[in-house]
Amino acid sequence: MLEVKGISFRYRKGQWLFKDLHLTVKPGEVVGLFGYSGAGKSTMAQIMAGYKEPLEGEIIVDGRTDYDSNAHPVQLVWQHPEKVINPKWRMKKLMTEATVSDPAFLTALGIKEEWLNRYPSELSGGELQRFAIARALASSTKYLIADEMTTMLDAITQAQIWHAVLKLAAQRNIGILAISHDAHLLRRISDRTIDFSGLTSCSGPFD
Amino acid sequence: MSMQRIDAYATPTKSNRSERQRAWTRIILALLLLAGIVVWALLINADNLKVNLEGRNTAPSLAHLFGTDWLGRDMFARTLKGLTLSLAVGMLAALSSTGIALFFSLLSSWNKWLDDMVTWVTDLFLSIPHIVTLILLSVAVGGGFKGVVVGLALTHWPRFTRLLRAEVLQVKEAEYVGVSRQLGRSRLWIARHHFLPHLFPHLLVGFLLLLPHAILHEAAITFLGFGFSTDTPAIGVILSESMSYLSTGLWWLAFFPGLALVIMVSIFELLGRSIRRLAETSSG
Repeated sequence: MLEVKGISFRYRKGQWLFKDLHLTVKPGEVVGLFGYSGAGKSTMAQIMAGYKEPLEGEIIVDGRTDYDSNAHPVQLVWQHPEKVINPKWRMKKLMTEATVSDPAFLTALGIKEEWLNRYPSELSGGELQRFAIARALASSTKYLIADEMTTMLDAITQAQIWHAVLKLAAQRNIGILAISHDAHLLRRISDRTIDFSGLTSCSGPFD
Repeated sequence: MSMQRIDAYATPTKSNRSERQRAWTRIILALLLLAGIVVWALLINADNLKVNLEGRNTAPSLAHLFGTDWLGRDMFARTLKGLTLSLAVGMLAALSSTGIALFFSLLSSWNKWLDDMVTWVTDLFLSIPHIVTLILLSVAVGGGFKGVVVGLALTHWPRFTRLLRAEVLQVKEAEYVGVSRQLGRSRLWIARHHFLPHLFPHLLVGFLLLLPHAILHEAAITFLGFGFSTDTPAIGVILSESMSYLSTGLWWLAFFPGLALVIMVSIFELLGRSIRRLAETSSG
């Protein structure tokens, strides 16, 4: 179980982005998290995946909090794939960065073999995002946080990618936290949806 | 934002392509000229360098393109020998300096304390006039070939380190490096696979632009008498010896070797700049 226990965060001495936030994601469960832009959803996602330290509270993954030197069991898929892929690498190198080697798995995500020899600048956003997802679904990954994962893609690509991700997650019993401001999408893919502003006592600069 | 991104990823434009072609032409030309100097110098045997007292102090002619000196030695042969010696010393020194700069820049990516130390040492070296450090180090090591190389290598890294450090710190903050870390990749792995490919064009260009510096400084300290001993046919030695003959009208002793040195240095500048141009316009 991925447990978020009372985390709080603010940038420097600014206003609290959120305070005493609680959230759980069970293995194999798809949780949709809805919230307005600027509410602090992405910051929360980065804290959950270990990119940032919370100022208060803790993240417990399957009963553990120490996963420092190894691959983090919670992997984040970012909104902009071109930022999380080294522009100087060919795509096949990206696939060696994480321990994913099952070719069937790449096909399931709609990755074509000829893309592996290309540079990121030679692929579209949707194609890059498929690679970013494939990398995030490394063999050590137990939970996946999809932070506006398909927001910048067209409806068809969006459907294809979510279809593949949900199938792969179900096979490996991976828990998913899908973050979006698109309530329709979340209702389609999630087992349950929650409102970010309901999670915390103070949420974002709009309060 | 996304539209701009698409534009930036588009195939190189026509002007971009001809720019690259011109850069390639310049690179090939520069490499041919440099190869020409080295090959020509290798073809010179001891005969051309020997003392010939009958043909002393002759002005430039077809037989002796750069004239002869007070011992009748052919200045063209001596100049070429000097240039290759400068080239070899410059290469060795610039290569070592590049290595030091690379090491320091990677070191500064490790943590805040090491970064502060690297910055401090860099600033320390930059605060002393370059030529003073160079002479001090060269003399301390014992002069000669070793002194020159050690002196040059240990004084040409600070500016380059600053540049590389800025690049490394920039890549370090990139989101793809953060992802790598979360995927359990070690610092060494990240340095090797994320930092190095990014630094490589900077290393190549920086090395090539260090070469002319190193070569000129080598000539400078040799000219001042702190570098090579007087029996080596180094450009600096040739120039400093020619000083005593300038007043007697033997202008070619200083003019041609000096000109040759300037030309070789310019060729390296051209090479370095053209490669930088190529790296800047590359789409990869």
